Amino acid sequence: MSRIIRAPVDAGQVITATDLNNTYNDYNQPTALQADNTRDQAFDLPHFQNVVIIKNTQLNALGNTGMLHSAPVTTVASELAAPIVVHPVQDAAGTETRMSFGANGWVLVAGDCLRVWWNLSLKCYYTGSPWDNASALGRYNIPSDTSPPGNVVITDGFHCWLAYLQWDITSAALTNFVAVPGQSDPTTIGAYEGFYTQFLNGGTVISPWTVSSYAFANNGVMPAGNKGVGFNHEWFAPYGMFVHAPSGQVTVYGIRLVITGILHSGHLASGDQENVLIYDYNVGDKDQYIEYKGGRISAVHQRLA
Amino acid sequence: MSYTPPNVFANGTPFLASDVKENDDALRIYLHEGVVAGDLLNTAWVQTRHVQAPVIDAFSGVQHGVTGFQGSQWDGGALVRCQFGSAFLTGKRYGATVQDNWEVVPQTAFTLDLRRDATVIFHWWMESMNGPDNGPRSLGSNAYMWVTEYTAGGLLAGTGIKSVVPTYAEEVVNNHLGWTSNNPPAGPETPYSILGYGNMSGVKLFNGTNKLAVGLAHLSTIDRSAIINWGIALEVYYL
Repeated sequence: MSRIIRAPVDAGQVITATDLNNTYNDYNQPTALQADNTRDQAFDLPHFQNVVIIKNTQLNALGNTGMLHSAPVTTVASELAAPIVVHPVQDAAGTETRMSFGANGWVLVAGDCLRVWWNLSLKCYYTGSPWDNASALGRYNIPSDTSPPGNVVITDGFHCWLAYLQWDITSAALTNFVAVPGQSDPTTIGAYEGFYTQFLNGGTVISPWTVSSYAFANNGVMPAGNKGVGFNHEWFAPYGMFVHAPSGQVTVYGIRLVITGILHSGHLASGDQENVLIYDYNVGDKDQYIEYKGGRISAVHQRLA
Repeated sequence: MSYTPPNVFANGTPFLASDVKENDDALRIYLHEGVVAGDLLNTAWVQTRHVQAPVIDAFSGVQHGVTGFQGSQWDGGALVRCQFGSAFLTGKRYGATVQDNWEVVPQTAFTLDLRRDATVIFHWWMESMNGPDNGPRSLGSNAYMWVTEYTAGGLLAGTGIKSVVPTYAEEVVNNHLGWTSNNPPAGPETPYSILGYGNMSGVKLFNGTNKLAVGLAHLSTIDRSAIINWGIALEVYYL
C-alpha cells in the first residue's frame, strides 16, 4: 500500500461510480494504515479492536453475605494434630466460596500476568491464656521476685493464623487445589508441620490475640504477678494479594482462599537455620478459633507483553 | 480488513446522498475504533508522534493516556492531611439497620469520563484511629467503622446516590471496648489504644462505559474516626 492520495471532486467535474468506489476502497486494503496515511497522535488504545490489555476479570464474594457480625458466620477450628487439613473459605452451609473460571479456565501464557486480591472480615477467639499452655512455643518462664523465688510466664507474641491462596490448574472439576506458585501447602519440617517462610508468597498472617506484658525486669527477675494480659482484636479485615507471571502456558480453572492455624514462627536448628512457620498444637484447642463473615476475592488476567 | 464500504456505487443507478453518508460514517467509525492489526503496515513504523500524548488533570491527579486512565492521591492537599468518618454523618449510631446510609470519605473519589467499555481497578488503603467512644448504641457493645468502595454512574464524585456492596466492607473496632474514663484498669496495664487503630486495604473491580464516579464510603457507629493515612490508586483499561 502506498500513500493514499486522491484528488477531491470539484464542482462541475464529472465523477463516475468507479471514482466513488475507489475513494472508499482506498481504506479497504491490508496495511493501508502506515506512516504516510496516519496523522500525528492518531492512535490510542481505544482505536483498536481485540488488542486488550485485560484478558479476563472476575470478582466473587467470600464467606457469608452481609457486613454485620451476626449469623451466619463460618468457623475455622485450630489444628490439633497432623495431618493438616486446611479450611477453604465457605459460607455457613459449607459451600465453598471460590472463583471458578469455567470449563475452559483462564489460559495464561508467557507474557501474561495473574493478579489476585482478597479481603475477609473475621474475629479470632481464644479462651484463657493459651500462650501459657505447657510447651507452647514462644513461652518464656522467667524468675520472679517473689519469696521464695518463683516464675512468671510470658510469651513472645508470635502466634498467628495463616490465610493463603490455592489454585486448580488440573480441571474445571475443581478437585485439585494446590498452593499457588511461591506458596506451599503445609509440609513436614523436622518434627513439626508448617511452612518455610520463603514459600509464603500467597499468604497473609492473622494475629490471634494481643498479649501485653507490662512490667520491666528488676535485676534480672520479674515482679510477681507480671503475667501477660490478653486482649481480643475484635472484628477486623485481613487482606492479601498475589501476582504471578508464568514462563509458559498454564490454565487456571479456579482460585480459593484457605485458612489454617495456629502457627508460630521459628527457624531450623541446623544448616542455614531457615525461617519457618510451624503449627503449635500446644495452643490449639476448640476454644481457639476464627469466625468470619463476608469479603471478596478479585482476579485480573492481564497481558504484559 | 475491518472496513468495508456499506454501499458500492454503479453507473446508471440513482446516486443517493444517504449512501455516501453511510460510507463516510462507516469509515469514521472504523478509523476511530475499528482498526485491527492487519490494517497496520507489518513493519515497524509507529513513532512516538503517532501515539496520543497523555493528558494530565493536575486537580484530580488523574492521567488519561494510551491505555486508559491512571492516577492516585494520598491526602487532601496542602491543608487537609486527615480525613474523618463519623456516626453523626452516617446517622445510624442508634439505628436498627445500618446498611443503607453510607457517606463518602472526602477526597477519595474520582470521576472518570470513559470513552468506551473499560475495566476499572480501584485500589485503596487507610490507617485510622477510631474513638474512644463509650456512648450508647443499639448494635451491641462493639462499635465499628466500616469502609468500602462505592460507584455512582454519571454523577460527580462524592455526590448523589451511591451503590455499595455491604458484604465487601471492611471494619475497624472502636477504641478499647467498654473504655470509660472512670472505669480502670487503664494506662500501661490496659492501654486503651490497643484497639481502635485499624489498617484496611481493598481492591475493587468496576466496569464502566461512559461517566463513572468511584470512591470510598463509610458507615460508622463510632462518634468519630480519624483517617490518619490513606491512599487511592486507579487503573483503567479499555476493553
